Amino acid sequence: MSDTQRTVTEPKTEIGRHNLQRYAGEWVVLHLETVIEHGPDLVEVTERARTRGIHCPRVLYVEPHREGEVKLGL
Amino acid sequence: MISISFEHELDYLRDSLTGDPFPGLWIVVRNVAGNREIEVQAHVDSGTERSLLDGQIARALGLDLSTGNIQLFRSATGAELVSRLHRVVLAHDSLGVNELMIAFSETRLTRNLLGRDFFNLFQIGFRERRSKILIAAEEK
Repeated sequence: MSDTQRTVTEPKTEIGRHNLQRYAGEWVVLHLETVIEHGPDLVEVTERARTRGIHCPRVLYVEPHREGEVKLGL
Repeated sequence: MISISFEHELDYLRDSLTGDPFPGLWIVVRNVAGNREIEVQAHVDSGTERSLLDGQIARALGLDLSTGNIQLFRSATGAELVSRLHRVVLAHDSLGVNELMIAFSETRLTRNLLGRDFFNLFQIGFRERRSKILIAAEEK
C-alpha cells in the first residue's frame, strides 16, 4: 500500500512522434518542445547547443522502432 | 500489513516514436567539476545491477571515457558489454542531487538505464496500470 504525499508531474516533451520519426537513430536537442539540433554524435550536437547559449542541453536519443517489437532493459 | 510511504509520484515518460509509456526519468548528468551538464532520459530498471549510460554522454561531459575502470555487463541473452566507470552527479528537480559511480558504455546504447545502485538511494514503486513511478529517498 502506498501513501503518496506529493504529486509531481514530469516535464512534458511530447513534440509528436511523427515529428521525431525523421530523427530515428539520432540524438536530438529539445528546447521549448522544439528540436534545435540533431545528429548521430552527441558531443557535436551538445556543443552546437552550447554555442546557442544552452548550458544544460536536454537531449533525447530517438530509438528506432519496428512494428510489433517489445523492449528489454539490457 | 506492510505500509510504505512515498514522497513523489511521477508520470511515466513516453517513447518518442511509439508514445508507449515507460518508467523513466529526465535526469541531469553533470561532471564532478560542475562545468558541463546535459539532461537525458533514463529507464528505471530493477533488472540492471548498476546504472549504465551511453558512453557518448561521458564524452559530452568532457570526460575521457577510456580512463575509467572497466566494468563488464552481461545481458539476459548472455551478450557481454564493456563499460567504463566514472563518478558523476545526477540531479533531478524532485529527487535532489546525488553523486554516483556510473558505468558508461563503450558501445552505443539505445537507452540509458538507472539500475539497483539508483534503487539504493531511492525507494521506488511502480504503478504500471496508472503509469506512475513512486519514489522516496532512502534513509542515509
